[in-house]
Amino acid sequence: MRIVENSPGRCLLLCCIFTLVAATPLAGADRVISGVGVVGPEGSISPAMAVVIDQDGQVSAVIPADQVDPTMVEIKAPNGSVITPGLHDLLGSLGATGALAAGTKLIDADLRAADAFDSTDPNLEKAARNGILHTTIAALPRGLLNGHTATFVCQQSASARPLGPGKPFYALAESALNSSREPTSRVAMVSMWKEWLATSDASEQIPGILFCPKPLDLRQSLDIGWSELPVLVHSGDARSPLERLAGRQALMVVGPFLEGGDAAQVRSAVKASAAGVELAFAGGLPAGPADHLRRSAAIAVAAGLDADAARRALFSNPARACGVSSIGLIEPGARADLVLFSADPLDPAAQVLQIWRAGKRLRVAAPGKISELEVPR
Amino acid sequence: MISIRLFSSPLLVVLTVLLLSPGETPCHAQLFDRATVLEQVLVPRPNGTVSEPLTIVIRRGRITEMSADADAPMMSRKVDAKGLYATAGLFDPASTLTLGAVSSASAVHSAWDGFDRYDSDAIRAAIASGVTRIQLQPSGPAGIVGRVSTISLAPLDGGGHGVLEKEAVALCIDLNQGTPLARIRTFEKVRTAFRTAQRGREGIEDYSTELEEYLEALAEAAKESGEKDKKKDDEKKDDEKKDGEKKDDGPAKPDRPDRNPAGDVLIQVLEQQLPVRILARRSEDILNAVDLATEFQFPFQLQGADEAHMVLGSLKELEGLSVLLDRPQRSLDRGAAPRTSSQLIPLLEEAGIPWTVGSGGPSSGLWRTVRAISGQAGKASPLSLVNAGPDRGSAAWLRRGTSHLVLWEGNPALDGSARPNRVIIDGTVVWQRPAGTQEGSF
Repeated sequence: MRIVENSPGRCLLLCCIFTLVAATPLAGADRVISGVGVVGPEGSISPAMAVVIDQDGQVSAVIPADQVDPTMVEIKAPNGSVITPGLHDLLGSLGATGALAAGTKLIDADLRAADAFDSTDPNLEKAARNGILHTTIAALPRGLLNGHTATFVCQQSASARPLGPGKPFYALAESALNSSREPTSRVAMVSMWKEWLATSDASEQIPGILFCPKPLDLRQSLDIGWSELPVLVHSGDARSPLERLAGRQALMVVGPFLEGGDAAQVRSAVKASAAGVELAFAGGLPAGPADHLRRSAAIAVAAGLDADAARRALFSNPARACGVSSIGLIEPGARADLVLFSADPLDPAAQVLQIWRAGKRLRVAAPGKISELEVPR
Repeated sequence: MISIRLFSSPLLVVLTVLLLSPGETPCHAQLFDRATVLEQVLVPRPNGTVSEPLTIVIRRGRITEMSADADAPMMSRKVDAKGLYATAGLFDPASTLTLGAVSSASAVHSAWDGFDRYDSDAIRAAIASGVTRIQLQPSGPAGIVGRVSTISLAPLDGGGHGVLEKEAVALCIDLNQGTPLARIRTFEKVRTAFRTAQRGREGIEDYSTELEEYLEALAEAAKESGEKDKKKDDEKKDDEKKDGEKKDDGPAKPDRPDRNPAGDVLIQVLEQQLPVRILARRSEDILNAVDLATEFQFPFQLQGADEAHMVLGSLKELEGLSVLLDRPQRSLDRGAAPRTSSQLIPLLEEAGIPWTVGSGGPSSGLWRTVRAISGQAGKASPLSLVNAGPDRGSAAWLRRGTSHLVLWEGNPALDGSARPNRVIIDGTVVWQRPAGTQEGSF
């Protein structure tokens, strides 16, 4: 009888609960970001797509938005918005403590840059809010082999694990010369490199990342006989032998480019891309401005770099360069480390609206603006 | 017979004489000035719409007609601009184009003196990004660095680019450089310079007064001397007796203050004949700039102003203040870089402080800076943020009388990646995207 007496109120309460449950995506269920442009592996933007994120924090599908069940949509993205993999601060020092200086050993295979990573660094969270979701750090290139790089997610936490084993970080540059140990001269350095490549097992010659910033460094690097070309960190200018990289599936880390900076470096990068070299923009955090990666891309595009190549240099190629296959692409099985931009990320006016780290969403844009743009479900 | 009849017409005779006369005369210019006609151009409008395809007629360097049914004058140069969007050339109020390492540290220095008109790479990059006119600002050690100049990037007959429009637009003061202690010293140095100029102005005023008094005294002395001359003959004998006495030398002429060219420029500022631009990013430097303006009573333009949101109360009280935003610095380094706010522009607008945008660099990045700031400001169109000329509020929308034009491949009012295709200055295409290239900033 009491139930009957209280039925209007109870019914209302039950209705509210039912509505809330129906409206909220079930915990553990797939979530869908719909109506959004998606940056594909080729760097082009496919409009009106939907990205499905599974309960493990991975991308499970990328499908046309009109094929999505409307009840599963977590976010209907604002018009013109673009979802991308996370930006990647490559070979900067974001999250690193100390000077990242290597030891005194010339060939140090055991040095781990991961040991210098401080997961409690608040800059990680600030970078993430600017769309930079990954950081790869390496020791300073003061020896021929400077240990291994380490890649982490930009997330402030008590502890963090690197996303993969890292790559060996080599150097053929004047920074490796030292008056108190060998090599003391460029001649000796090149000789040691040739000897190592000729005498070591092929299993030891893991293609890593080679620091060779000057044109002469690159020329000598190409002369010493790599069985497989490493990722090249090269600033370059008109003297760089970029034509020798054509057809060799080379990947080159360039930049960061600055407004009013050295135009020769930008032209060199554009020329390398035209020769078929894939580019990746180097990071500069925490010393540089937070939007420096996108600024590098905008400057390179203004100098003639193809827009798709610039997007690859921002998103997929840094992940390739550091050897982590689970990031850098929006495809089934990849980590759902995503950034929702208000427009094409190459447009300096584009703002970071939302980010996802392993599928967990964080709203970034000011609430006043976001309410005008998105329609939460 | 026919030729005789033709030459019998006075008009034809005059025309023939003009045609055959050597050299270029104003008549030649008017008769043979070929108009440039842009056909099928789309023009973005401030209300967000785009015009129907228009014909734009440029005569003697300026747009004289802009309509759908305009007729192309005879012998005009026709430019097929189908699908291109036209705006006025962009104006960069904070440029360091071609200055590079040129350093200046005096109020008498003008940025124009350091402009390298043959730095074709840098100038070409600026023009390719749609910039046709700049305010070149000097840079150097902190303090008073020199005077800002307005320059049109029009090509010159003898080679190079750059026509001086105004040499002294504003005095540039840099309070932004160095450690905190160095910046305090810079502030004191600037203050001392203005005080010295103030004393110099008082000295000149005193000198003027003393000079007037001297001239009056001199006239009086001359008058007295005349009267004395009349009596001279009578008193000749007496004078001979008084030879041994001292002669009256008359009034003493006042000493003119030493010339101080740098001080003269500062006096122009104190008399509000020359505007001031102060570069300050941190809150303490901005407050120092406010102190300077209050003490010496001049209005100024604040450049940088990254931390202006922290001292907005002090800025609100100033009369004639405007803000020139340049490259937004969003560093993650705490303490190493100014603390910016994404709400700065709304706050400035709320406080009624006018603001504009400049590149703060070599101008090729102006459009990127404008777009970045338009994203921050939440403005519908970045074109409303960029000026077409030194006049504040002259946004880059196209209008009659405009002499600098940019033809874009996309609608720059809406499309973030729109690139210039052609740049036209005074009726001449000064830059055109090389076929098959991606060159040209967006």
